[in-house]
Amino acid sequence: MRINKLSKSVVILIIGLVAIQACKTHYFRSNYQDANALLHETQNIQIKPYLKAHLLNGEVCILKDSWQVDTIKNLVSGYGSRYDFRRTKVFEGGISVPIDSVALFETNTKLQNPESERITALSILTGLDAVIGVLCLSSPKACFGSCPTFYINETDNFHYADAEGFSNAISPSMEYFDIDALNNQKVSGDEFSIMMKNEALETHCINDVKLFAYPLEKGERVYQSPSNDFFLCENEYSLSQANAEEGDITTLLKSNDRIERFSLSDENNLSSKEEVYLTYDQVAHTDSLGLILNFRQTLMTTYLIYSAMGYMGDEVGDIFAKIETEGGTSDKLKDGIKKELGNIDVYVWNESKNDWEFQNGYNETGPIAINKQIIPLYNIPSNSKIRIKLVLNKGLWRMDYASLTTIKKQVSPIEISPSTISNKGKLDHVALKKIKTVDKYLISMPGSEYEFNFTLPSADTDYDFFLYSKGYYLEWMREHWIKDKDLMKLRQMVDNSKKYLREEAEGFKQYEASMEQEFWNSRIDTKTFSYYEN
Amino acid sequence: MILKRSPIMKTNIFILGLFLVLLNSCSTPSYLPSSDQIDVNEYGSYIRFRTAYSNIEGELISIDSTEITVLLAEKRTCVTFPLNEVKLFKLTYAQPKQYGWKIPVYTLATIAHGFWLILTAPLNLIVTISVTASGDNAFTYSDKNMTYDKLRMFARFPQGIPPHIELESIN
Repeated sequence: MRINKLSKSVVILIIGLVAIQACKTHYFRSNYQDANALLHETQNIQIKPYLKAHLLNGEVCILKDSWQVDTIKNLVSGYGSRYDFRRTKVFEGGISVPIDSVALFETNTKLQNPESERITALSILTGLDAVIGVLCLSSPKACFGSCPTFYINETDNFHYADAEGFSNAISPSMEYFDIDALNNQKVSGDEFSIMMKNEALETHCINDVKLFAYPLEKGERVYQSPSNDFFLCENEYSLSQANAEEGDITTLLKSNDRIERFSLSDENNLSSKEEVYLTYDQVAHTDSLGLILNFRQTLMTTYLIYSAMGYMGDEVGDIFAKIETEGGTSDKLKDGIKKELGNIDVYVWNESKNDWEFQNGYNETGPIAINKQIIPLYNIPSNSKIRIKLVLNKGLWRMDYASLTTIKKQVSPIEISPSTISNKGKLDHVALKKIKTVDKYLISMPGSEYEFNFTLPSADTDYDFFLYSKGYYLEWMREHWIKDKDLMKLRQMVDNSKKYLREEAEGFKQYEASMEQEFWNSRIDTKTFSYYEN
Repeated sequence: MILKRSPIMKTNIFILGLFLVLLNSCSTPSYLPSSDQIDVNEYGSYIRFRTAYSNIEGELISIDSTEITVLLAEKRTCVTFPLNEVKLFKLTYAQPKQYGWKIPVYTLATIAHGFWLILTAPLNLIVTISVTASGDNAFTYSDKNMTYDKLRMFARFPQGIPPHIELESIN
């Protein structure tokens, strides 16, 4: 479904049709003062029009297409109806009126299919809607998604989400906390607000939301590591060269511009790996460096989670109950499919060993918000040229920006709990109490929007912000998923994920070829729209 | 992990546009013929115009070079106005086909499109509003495409009101 190009063509076609129709003016009526003019103008018309004879006394005779003018007897005659000046029908049948009593003759040309363009436009639209609807029903993974999304600018849509919380926590036992970088936001005064939205068919159970803030001096930044350590940094070394299988990708990774580098999955194996090589020249301080990477996932994990739900079919409730009571599922998933897909592993070239040396790996589930994280590098060569290799799963990751920075020290940001929570513009004290109570959960249903307001320690200070969110969510089972029930496949997915990822490669490929690229490339400005009516 | 659903745009301009289109689409009189019956309609067309003091709407009874007579829709009485007082007329000669219901139906139906809704809901809204607006204006003339001289063809009495007929007796 090449939605973007297709929709552009369809929009142009439909708008064109409507515009043509809107500008169309029908001219279909003619008046004749005398019978000769009437005869002259209508003699070559193959299908004779109905004739209206407006009489001098205000009456009107409407004659069907068999009317005749007898210029010898000076009569107009035919079969039709006669109306008085109040337009009450006074006669129906054969009518004959003297031409002298007629003030004006009127003919009308039949309008040919006046609704055709509008019907065509609606038909095309209906067809397009139906195609997308059917595709979404047959491949719901491509159309629906999950987990709480956070927005600093509440009117943004998910293309611009600043954070997405606890994406892997699909049941209570899988609850965990998630920290996302909100970056260096401009704040005037001492108030900072962020909107949390439930934009999916699921129930979000939020145990806690906090703001982490660290005050900055000029030229400083704070970055978070995958293990949630925070590092105060200065200097940034821009990428000199980047290469991947497809060639030079330097421009894609050099700027923090949301123009991302991604690859497509291997058609034979969803867990095939690829390598990306980064080079940094002219690095001044090589003693304490960190690699900053802006990244997020593609829709591959979404596809896999929804596939799992589909395989559970009508036993989804039983299986989730089992997950809760038996435990160990989270570990099984970590050791299984998550391990197979792997991290974005970072290696640095070690001149003395003449080999790549493993450093650490990035991993954060979720295809919406872009994560900005740092991995401290060790055993860095003393020369000014740094070579880095990233090893990552094909078709799983999108990377926007990669740079080096100098780490000054590890720091601990200030933890700030919300001072107020607003629900649709009104203070929600119950929600605040739930967030502040350890064992209570704020339940957020589809369409819910909560604004978390934080009071900063000091006004007009430059901070780097991070969002802490803890909880889990329950996916709503869709009726059309039930038909996908396949418990054997589910078992294979959990117990033999290597084989599953090989066998599922073809199915995902079909999905990826259409939705992935088109959806994320659709850079239309939807900022003026919101999803829910308040 | 992700996203989306649900329709309706908050944008006020869309709501206003929708409201106006729906409002407009309900306001044509029943005596107007359907588009395939315009040649057998015995009445004058439906006209709306503004004067310095009021908005006028009703059946066009007659028009000449100096004045226009209208059978008022609400009062069912004839009123004559000097032509130089008439501004911005709109004449409807056939019953427009109502497409207004398609605006909410089509737009809400995009819920089934998941997060593609951000593309398809505005598309459906734009197209259905355009189709509805176009449908409402399909069988109309205005001062932009019709002169007063030709307007008389759409009056009940294109020849003018016969002298023996009292205005009060026309209904």
